[in-house]
Amino acid sequence: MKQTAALTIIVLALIAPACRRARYVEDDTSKVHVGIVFDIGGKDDRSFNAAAWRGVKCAESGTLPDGKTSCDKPALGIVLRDVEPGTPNSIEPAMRAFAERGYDLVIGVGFAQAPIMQVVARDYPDIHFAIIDGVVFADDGKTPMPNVAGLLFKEHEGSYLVGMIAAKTSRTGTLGFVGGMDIPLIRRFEKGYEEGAKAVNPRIQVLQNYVGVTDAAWNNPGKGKELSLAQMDRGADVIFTAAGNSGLGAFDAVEQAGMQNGRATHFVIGVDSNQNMVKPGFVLTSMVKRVDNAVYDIVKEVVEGRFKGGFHVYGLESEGVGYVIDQYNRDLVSPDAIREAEDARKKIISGQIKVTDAMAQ
Amino acid sequence: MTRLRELLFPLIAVLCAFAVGALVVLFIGDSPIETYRLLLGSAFSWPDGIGYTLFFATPLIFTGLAVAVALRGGLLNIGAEGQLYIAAFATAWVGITLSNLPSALLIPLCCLAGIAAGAAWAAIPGILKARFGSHEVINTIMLNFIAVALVGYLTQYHYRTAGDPIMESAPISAAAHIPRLGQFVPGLPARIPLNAAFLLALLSCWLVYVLLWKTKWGYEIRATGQNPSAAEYGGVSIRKEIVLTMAISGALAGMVGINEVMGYRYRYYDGFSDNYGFTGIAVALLGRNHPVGVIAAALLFAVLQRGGVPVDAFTQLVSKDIVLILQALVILFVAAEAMFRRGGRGPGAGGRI
Amino acid sequence: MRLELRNITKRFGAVLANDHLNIVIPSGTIHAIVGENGAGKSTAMRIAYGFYRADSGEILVNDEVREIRAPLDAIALGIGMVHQHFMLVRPMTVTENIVLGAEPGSALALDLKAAAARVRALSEEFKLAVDPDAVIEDLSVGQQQRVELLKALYRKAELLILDEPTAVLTPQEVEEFFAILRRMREQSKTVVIITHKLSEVLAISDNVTVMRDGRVVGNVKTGETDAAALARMMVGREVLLRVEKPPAKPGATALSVRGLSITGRDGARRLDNVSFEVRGGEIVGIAGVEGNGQTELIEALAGLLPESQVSGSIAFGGRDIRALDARRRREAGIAHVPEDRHRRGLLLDFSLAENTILGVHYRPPAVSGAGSVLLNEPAIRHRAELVIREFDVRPPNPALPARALSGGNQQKLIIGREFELPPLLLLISQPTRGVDIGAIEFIHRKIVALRDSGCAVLLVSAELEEVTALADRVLVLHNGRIAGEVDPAAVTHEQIGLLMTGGHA
Repeated sequence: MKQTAALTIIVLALIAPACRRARYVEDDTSKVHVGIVFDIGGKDDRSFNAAAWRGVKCAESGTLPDGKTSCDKPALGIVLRDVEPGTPNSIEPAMRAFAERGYDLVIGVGFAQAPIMQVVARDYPDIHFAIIDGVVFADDGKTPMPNVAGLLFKEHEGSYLVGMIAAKTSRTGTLGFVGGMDIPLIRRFEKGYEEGAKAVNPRIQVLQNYVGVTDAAWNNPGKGKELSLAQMDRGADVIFTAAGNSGLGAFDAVEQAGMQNGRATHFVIGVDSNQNMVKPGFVLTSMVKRVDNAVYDIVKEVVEGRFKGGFHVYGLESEGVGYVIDQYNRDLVSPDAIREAEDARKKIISGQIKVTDAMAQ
Repeated sequence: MTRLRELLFPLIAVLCAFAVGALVVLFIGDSPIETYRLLLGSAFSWPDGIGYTLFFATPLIFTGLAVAVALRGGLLNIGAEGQLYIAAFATAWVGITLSNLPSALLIPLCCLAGIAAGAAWAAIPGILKARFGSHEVINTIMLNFIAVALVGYLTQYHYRTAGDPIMESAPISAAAHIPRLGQFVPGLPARIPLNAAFLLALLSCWLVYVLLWKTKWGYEIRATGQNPSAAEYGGVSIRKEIVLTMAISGALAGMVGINEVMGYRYRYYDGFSDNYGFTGIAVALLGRNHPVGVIAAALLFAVLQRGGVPVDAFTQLVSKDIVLILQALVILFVAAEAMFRRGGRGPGAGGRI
Repeated sequence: MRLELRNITKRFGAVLANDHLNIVIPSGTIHAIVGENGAGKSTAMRIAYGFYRADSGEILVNDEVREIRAPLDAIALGIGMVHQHFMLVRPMTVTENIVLGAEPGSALALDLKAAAARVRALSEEFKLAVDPDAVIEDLSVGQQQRVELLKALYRKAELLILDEPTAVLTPQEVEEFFAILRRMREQSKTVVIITHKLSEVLAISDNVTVMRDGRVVGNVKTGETDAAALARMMVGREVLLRVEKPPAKPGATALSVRGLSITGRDGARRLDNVSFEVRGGEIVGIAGVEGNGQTELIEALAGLLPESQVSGSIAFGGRDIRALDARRRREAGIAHVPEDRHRRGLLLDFSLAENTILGVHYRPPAVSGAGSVLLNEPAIRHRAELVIREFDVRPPNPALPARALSGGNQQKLIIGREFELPPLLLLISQPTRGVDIGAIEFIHRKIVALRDSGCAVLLVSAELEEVTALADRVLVLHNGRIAGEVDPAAVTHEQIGLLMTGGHA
């Protein structure tokens, strides 16, 4: 009995590789090498990390991470390696693993990697670094380091637009916001959302809650759901979530509330990636942060030899942020709401509307 | 002879785990040789591999010792995680608040703050058990949540640099930095965070050994753990031992903060612990609750942690999960080996001569 | 049923438990198997019952060679076994326990009524007086044992193996139990009784098999032997069964207990207004059925009960020691050999050396150096070697874990440690429980010698013979009260037995 089981495993192990087998050949040193270090959440968070992963995969192969669907951009002919460090103290060795091997570009996902990247980038001045959502300053604390690109987004502008759509959709006059970790970056989403909503309906109420104050707040869908249900109890019928994995709890919460006459009674607004298809019919729209575009662009800059350190800011004007209307939510959002949002978009780009940046305060 | 077997069996268990791990790698279609070359090669390369491996082992030695001491005293301390958070924050707090002091004073004070905070936090479930008989497992788990939330709150609202998006405290005074070993070891660059806390960890192992087996206090701790009724009969105050053992355990867990705050980031960083407190349980069990075993087990887990990064990055199909699988396999095989040894004796021959 | 073990050999690792055993148990007899702990008597009977399989040799039932692979085979052949520790489900009724594993009727319809009727019939046939509908928890130990007998009889056992059946019984219960065994013999059942109590062997059995070190050293008819001869065969040398003891010369009062009452954690009275004293140079014995307050009395005297549970006065050497904890009392000279050596007396995984300092581990000579913190290993080894030598602890290796010792050697280690204190008062409970005859003799001599050196001894034992043989005065404890004081030299066991069960002598 025991022998049979052991034998089965060994045979399976020997047969299985016939389907897929990794090959280790000499590295093609002529290609641009890109290494990406994800944050603690890992690349399958369907949100922020996932968007960065889409960007580098697109640059590598011209496809989405599934390896088949085109990403509508040309492959850039790079060698791509990725690390999910899993623990904060593994981030530095991960970055150094790429730097030591002479990679051309090392991408760090998330502002939390900024202090580490500062140290590593100092040791490797000839290697390009990019950090999403963060800025790495030189030792004077003012000038950005020349070999580090900070990829930043005007989340408040995108949030303003989905706030308008939410206010136009709400029947109760109450909206909800569920943030992940209580940090200035997420306050920026919240503030923009509230301003957009108030622009449509000055008396609208926006309830807001945060999952927590530690890193764990990004990874607690249970709490995300509890907070959403509590907000729904108090009347919120559209909930905007900016909470990484925890946000998926809000999707569960609105689905649980169910539908009436074929239309959901409560809606959720997704974040970072397009999450419209996560719970079709319940997702009003998604405030996308085109991390994929930004990542693809920075890889392209390196490939084309025109990398620049410092701030790379992506706003409405460069389609770095925005909202998504697709086949999953076309019937949920009123044409009126889209018209007003588009109008506001133009005004923000032209400077007629100023959205408060909570991080700049 | 028995000593040799004590060493040999865990070693065989580890080898078995690696063998099964190789089958798993083969199964997903990648090369076990390449995977282990990356795993072990990067963990034992000089200076980065060894430096980082020892750096990663440091907190695990502390928490492994913490759990081992508690287990020797008959207590299961699942709260090392909370104790080390509180302690790390206390260390940073002293390093920030008393920043005017010179190194000679500040370094010992920071260390003491962490040790005392860890001990005090661990003494709470000890007192609860001694006084009311409530189980330490439940109380230590509960206190983990409270500890994480408490230091999270303090960091967020009181000790954070304005405008810093990261959940971390302000930096500690430069006078509280402990030296990195790169300053003394030729060829070891200073950027590798291996620091004096590693030496402190080794020293702690020796101290724990002396405490447990060479002093009357250790005798009482072990007696209480072995058979509290007999210890009580021998004139040992069980209540006192429970609180004392928990406090020592917490003090050891608290030293993790010295490595992290004074030797690596030079500030309190929220979420810095990679479940060190929980991994410490596995380290203690693997190390047979003996300081030497704890060092060996901590090194093993550190090798897996250090080697996991390049395995994740530079293999084609293997993800970092292989490291988790290996960890699980090692624990499984060691547990199986212990059971095999216990069950292997014939009935009736069970211990009498 | 005639049972024969022929050339049975059984090894456990390096230990030869049974070495070419030949035992013949004639049908319709009561057959005793005696021997010291570890002589292999239980192993032999477990082989007959199918718990173990012999490495070689054969088992003959009614002169036919039979394969007994498991207890079920044995039961099918009509062999039953009652273990020392009862295997009963406490919240279930007698009938339910008896049919467990041998459920009557089809698998689906459990016919408990019919079963109860059979149990009742069996009970009456052998005059067991067991109510089939009683719940086990409500039964006395003696009754529970009879349920175990019924269990075997219900399965149509023709031969019953009883492992140390009288260990838990009072003298009266033993008498009743023997009457039952005799009735079973009359019904032509065969009974095998494993025991180490020679008086019982002589009282009940027809034949005796004596075992030593895994071998049969004698097969004799009970009528043709006596206790001394049996003891000699068991131990392999001359054994003094009677305790040689000069008359006591009592000195000053060492321990004085006045109005001592003890309340258990559950609020029940365990000891009720007990007063007595023990003087230097005398042994005061406490007799009584276990669970009548002896445990609590000794624990209270040793300082192991919380003060809140104890009321009354305890004076030692003239001063009240109620406020002293166990450590301070030992420092004052009170030694304590606990009744349960595994629970209280030993650290089983600690070495012998470490065990010999339990209780004095914190003070010189066990510790040395600044602040008396470091254990003084040479001094500890020295002490261990002394105890091992003085008390003949085997094997004499201070580095062995206490677990590796036999019960008798463990007990000698504890007694040696406590005698080494040296004590002014010795509290000693069940000094020879589970101890071999040879060691019993040794322990008894040591206790008498300690008395003669002027130490006061308070002895608790469930073995009536031990109490009457050793003690100079005997107090009988019943229901937490002293039921009477008797002179051991002038009292019969029956008189004490009556006091133990609440009657009057």
